Amino acid sequence: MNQLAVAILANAALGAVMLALLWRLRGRPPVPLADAGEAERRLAVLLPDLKGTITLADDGRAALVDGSDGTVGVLLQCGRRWNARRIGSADLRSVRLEGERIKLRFADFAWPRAELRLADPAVRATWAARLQHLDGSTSVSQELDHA
Amino acid sequence: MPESIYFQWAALAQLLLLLTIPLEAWLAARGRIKGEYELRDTLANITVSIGSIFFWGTLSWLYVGAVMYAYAHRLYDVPFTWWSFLIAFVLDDLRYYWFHRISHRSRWFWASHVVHHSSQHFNLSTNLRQSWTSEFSGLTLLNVPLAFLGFNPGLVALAFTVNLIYQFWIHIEAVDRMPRWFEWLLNTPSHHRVHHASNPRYLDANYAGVFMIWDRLFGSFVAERDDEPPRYGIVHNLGTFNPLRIALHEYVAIGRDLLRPRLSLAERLGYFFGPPGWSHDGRHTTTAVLRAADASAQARSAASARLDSGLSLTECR
Repeated sequence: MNQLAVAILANAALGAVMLALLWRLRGRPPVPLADAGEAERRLAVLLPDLKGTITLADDGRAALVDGSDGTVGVLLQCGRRWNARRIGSADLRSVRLEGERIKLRFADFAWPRAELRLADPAVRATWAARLQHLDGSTSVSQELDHA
Repeated sequence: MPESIYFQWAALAQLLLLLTIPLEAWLAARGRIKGEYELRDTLANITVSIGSIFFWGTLSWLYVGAVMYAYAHRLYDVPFTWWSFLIAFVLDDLRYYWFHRISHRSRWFWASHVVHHSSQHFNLSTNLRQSWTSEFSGLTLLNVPLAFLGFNPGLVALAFTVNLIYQFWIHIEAVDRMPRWFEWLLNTPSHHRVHHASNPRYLDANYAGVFMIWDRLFGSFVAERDDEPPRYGIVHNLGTFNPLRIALHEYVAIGRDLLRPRLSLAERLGYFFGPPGWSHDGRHTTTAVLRAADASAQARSAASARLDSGLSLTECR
C-alpha cells in the first residue's frame, strides 16, 4: 500500500512538473492562413479532389470552399494543425450567425463545431444562405441581422 | 518477492520514461532536436492517459483472469528462466504484431486503438494517448495462448512490459535513421513514423512491436521516404482536444452507422467488423481505396509532368 501511495505521489509530482514545463515551453501560437493561395495548397493535400472558390475567414483560421462539383468544404485550424472536410447535407446540425461569425455545429462527434469570422456582411449572408440550403433540415438562427 | 521486484522495476522504468517527455519538449522548443509539442495536444494525451490507467485498473481482471485460467489448464510446464523469457518475448512480439494488425483492419478493434493514432503530433507524449477500452474489446485474449502453452503468467507479463517499454522511444522525430542492420531487424522511429502517418502510401503498415521481421514476413512493411514526410493522424482527423471525444468517437460513429435504417445483417456486420472506412453503399474510404486513388493521382501527375517537360522542350527548340 505504501509503495502504491509513493508511486501515485511520484506520478502526480512528475505530472505537475511536466505541465509547468510544457506551459513554459508552449511556444509559438498557431499561425493563421496568409491568403487564399495557402488555403488552396493545404486543401490540395488534405482534400485533393475538392477544387473551387475559396473564402478565407478574416482571422485566417478557417476557410470555406464552394466546390466546382457543387459540394462545400471547410478548412479549419485545430491547434497548430489543419483539418478539412466536405460538408454534406447530413453533416450539418445548425448554422448560426453571431455578430461577424458563422457558427457551424456538425453531427460528427469527433468534430462537433467550427467557427468562421467573416466581417463582410454580404459574404457572410451568402455563405449562411449557401450552408442553409445544403439541406432543408438545417436550421439557421440569426442573432444579428446579416443583411 | 518477485512481484515486489517486478513492481519496483516497472515503476522505476515508467518514471524514467516519463521524465524523457519534458526533456524532449525542452530540447525541441530550443531547436536542439527535431520535434514539436503543442500544449493542448499534450494535455489531451495526459488526460486520456489518466482515463486509460483508470479503465485498465478497473477491467484488467478480465485479462488476468483469462490468463490465470489458461495457465491452470496449461499443456506444458515451461520453467521461469532466461531462455524461456527470450522465447516468451519473441512469441509475445508475434502476438503483438497480430493484435496490432487486427486493431487496424477491423473497425470494432480500431475503435479502441484509434485513440493512440488520433493526435496530429508525434512525440514521446503520444505514448500516453492510449485506449480506454483495450480490456473490453476482446483482443487482450490473444495473451492467453502463451499461458496455455505453459509460460508462467509472470513471465508473460514481463515480456509484455519489456515490449511496451521498448516501444516508448520509437515515438520520436529526433532520430532519423538507425544503422541499416538495426532498421532491418528492429522497430525504429522511422518505421513507426510511417505507422502513425495518414498519407495513403503509409496507411496500415509497420505493425511491429519490437521485431520488424514480422512486417517483412507478412507483407506489411513500408519504408519511410525522404520525399514524402509523414502527416501524422488519421484519415478523418479529429476537430477537438476533448479527451472524452478522443476516447470514444469511433464507438459513436459505429453506433450511428449501425442505426442506419434498412440495412441488412451483413451490412451491419460490415460496419462493425469490416475495415475502417467500409460503407454499405460502395462509397468506401478504406485503405485499399485511398491507396488506389493516391496511386492514380500520382500517375496522372507524373504523366502531366512528362507532358509539360515535352512541351517545354519543344518550346525551347
